[in-house]
Amino acid sequence: MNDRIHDLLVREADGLDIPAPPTSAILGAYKTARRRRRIATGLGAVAAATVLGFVANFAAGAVMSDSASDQFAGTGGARGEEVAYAQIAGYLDTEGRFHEIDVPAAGPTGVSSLSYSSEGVVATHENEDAFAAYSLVAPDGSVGEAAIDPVTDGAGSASAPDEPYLVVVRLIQGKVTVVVHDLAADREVARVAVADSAYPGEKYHQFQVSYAAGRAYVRELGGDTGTNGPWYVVDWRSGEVRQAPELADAISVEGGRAVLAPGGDETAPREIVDLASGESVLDIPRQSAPVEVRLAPDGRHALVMTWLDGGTEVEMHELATGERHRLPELSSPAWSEGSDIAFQIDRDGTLVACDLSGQCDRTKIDLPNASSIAVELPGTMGYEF
Amino acid sequence: MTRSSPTDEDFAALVHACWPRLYRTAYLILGNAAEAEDLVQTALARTFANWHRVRSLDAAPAYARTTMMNVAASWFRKKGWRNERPTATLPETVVEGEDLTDRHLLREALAVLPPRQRAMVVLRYYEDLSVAEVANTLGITTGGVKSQTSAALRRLRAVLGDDLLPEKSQS
Repeated sequence: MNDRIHDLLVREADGLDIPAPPTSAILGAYKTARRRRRIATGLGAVAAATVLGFVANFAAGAVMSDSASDQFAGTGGARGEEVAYAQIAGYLDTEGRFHEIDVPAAGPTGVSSLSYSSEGVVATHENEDAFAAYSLVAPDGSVGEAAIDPVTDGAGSASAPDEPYLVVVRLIQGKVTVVVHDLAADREVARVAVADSAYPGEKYHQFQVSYAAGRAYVRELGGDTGTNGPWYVVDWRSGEVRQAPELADAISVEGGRAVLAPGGDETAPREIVDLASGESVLDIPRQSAPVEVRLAPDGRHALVMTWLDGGTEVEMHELATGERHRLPELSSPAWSEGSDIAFQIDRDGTLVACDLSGQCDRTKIDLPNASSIAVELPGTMGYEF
Repeated sequence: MTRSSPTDEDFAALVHACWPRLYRTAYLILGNAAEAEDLVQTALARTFANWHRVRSLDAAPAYARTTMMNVAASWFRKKGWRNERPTATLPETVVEGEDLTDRHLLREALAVLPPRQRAMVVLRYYEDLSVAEVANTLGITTGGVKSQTSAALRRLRAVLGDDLLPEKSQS
């Protein structure tokens, strides 16, 4: 009974002039994507991943000829030249000083994201082949290897700025499992089986995880299936695990608060709720453009970014008072160690740091390889590609 | 082809194999040659970048199609294609009994649909996906697919005329 519309569509499609496939451009784009993912992995897979420090990618300017890359014009990335990347990772301390951290690559990859803990900054190394490893950067800048075996089938991780724990979620014997490491003692202190995998047929697994006040908030991501598993709340000390239907619409959890997006549309209304009380602390009405919310590590503030055609508009919200400030100098900020400064590094190597009152300072910082080029996006969001 | 380390030649062969079908689908959904080309290009590159999830060469076209629809859905959101797209001229209703030899009429009829409805029509009636498959591909409910597809066909019929798209075409 659908023959008529089918015939019309087939006739239209069959009559099209099919252009030759731009094979070299596609392969060039694929290689560009792979290179980016080596640097910013996990962020793309976990759109709302918690990345609280700053990981930027500096093109080192080594121009090579690559016709495929020259042709590609789809990602908005380094177009027209093939570049080698030098990675810059760093964070702002509680006094607003930027610390570049120099962490050797773990396994096949460098630093992909940073998170704060009371013992220092946790550097996560992930790549698109589901490799994950962790390093601990102490306040004095020294780098230690966390006593955690690298994971090769996918993992998610989180820490809290006021606790010494790193929570790693991975699949162990078919079970989504929370593994808690005490970074001060450098040992595993708990292992809690959460649930069967929602995607048991997958070779690699992706997880979204947040940690605050002794509780891990965990869900398994469905990758390109367009679905995700349910959220679970895990009290690792008691071993209590419960499914969290109240988080069904949560796209991110941070600092004991969750960002809800009923309907999942990027322009849909958002709501930030306090997980302890269940109360709503901020409502964001439907916007005319896509919106992203980045909660501070302590959950007290949120950056609301609206991706307008003319550029990104950033607002800082104090969730207790409802006070808010426009931050026109920022476009893709990360949070400082103390959750009290939003910052980014501009293309010319200028650190832009905005405090909670909306006052911003600009400081030129000395970064290797940054003298002549470009910084791609700071790494709090995955690349679209 | 296995899941590990396909060569550039493998990928190039896959591009040539997948390109025509994906391009046709993309064009029907977007109604624009340049955008269709860009969409397929992005989808294929993303498919290769996610090769560890593609289980075999046979599975790659379907994976690429799903990826393409995910990309399209993202574009619909980000590029403000939530509503109908303006056309230079309004499509004319077909005169009763007229033979539909002009493919442009269908093209213009599709252009009056919101992007998501257009995608549903193409997936349901060109790609012959089931309601459940369309729902899964677009990330919406089966009920949403049914209601939106029905609405889309009503709008198409209003433009094309009941003779060319009779009532029984709904399902």
